[in-house]
Amino acid sequence: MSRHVTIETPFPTLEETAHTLGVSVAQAHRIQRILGEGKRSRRVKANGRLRRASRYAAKRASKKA
Amino acid sequence: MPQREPQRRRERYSVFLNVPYDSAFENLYLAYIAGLSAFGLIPRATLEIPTSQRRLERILRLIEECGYSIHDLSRVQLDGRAPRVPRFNMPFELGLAVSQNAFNRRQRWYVCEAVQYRVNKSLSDLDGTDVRIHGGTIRGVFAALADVFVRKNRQPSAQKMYQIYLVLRRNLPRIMRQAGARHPYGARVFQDLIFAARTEQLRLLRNG
Repeated sequence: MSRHVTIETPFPTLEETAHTLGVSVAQAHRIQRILGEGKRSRRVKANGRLRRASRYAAKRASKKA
Repeated sequence: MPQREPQRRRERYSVFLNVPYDSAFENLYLAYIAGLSAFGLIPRATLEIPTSQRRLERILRLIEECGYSIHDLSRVQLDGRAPRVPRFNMPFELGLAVSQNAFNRRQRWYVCEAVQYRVNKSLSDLDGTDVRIHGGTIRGVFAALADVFVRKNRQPSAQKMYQIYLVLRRNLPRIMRQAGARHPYGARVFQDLIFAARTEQLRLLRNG
């Protein structure tokens, strides 16, 4: 039994992965969307924080004036 | 021969993953999927096989479809629930893979354990075989995989594997919710985890 395996094949695409698993590519794309949603929700959270901070800053500024 | 090439390519990508399916092993299960995906390999497991009378036949076919196999023998203790028995599935599937290699030299098999020298006692037939010790840690699994697999170019680092692992860990509850599953050891969740790992691996590859 050899100690190492040298991999020379290119990295498989999502389509090749789906083909190997014997499932539809649509399942892979659904997961891509799930991962994307996670990122969007983090962005939305950041935007929300930014909006709230700007609103408070504007309120503080108006009190000073 | 037009049909042989895709089959051979599928064999080169596929790794038969023989691991315990229990909640204590969840982190290492995700680590194996993340690590293998980082190397551009596709994990396959008996999880894909629906329970039926022809299960053994289908396990044999699945092993035959894979160019490599990884066998984690770190669960040798007795089951917590009655009747308390050791788990024979993993050593049994290792035996199937060894015989597959002995007869047609098509599959390379590798053994991982958590504790050094324990396998010498639990399965002394493996004396003389290199057993990778991961110590029951995620980084240990990455090190074991890096010890087995070498990419000719773009060798993945442990950090890249860990990044993929974090994506799996973070998205596991959502993936399980979508699949209506209560544990990650189902066919659908397993396939979804592989797609999540592949998506992240390709993203890391694009970003260098």
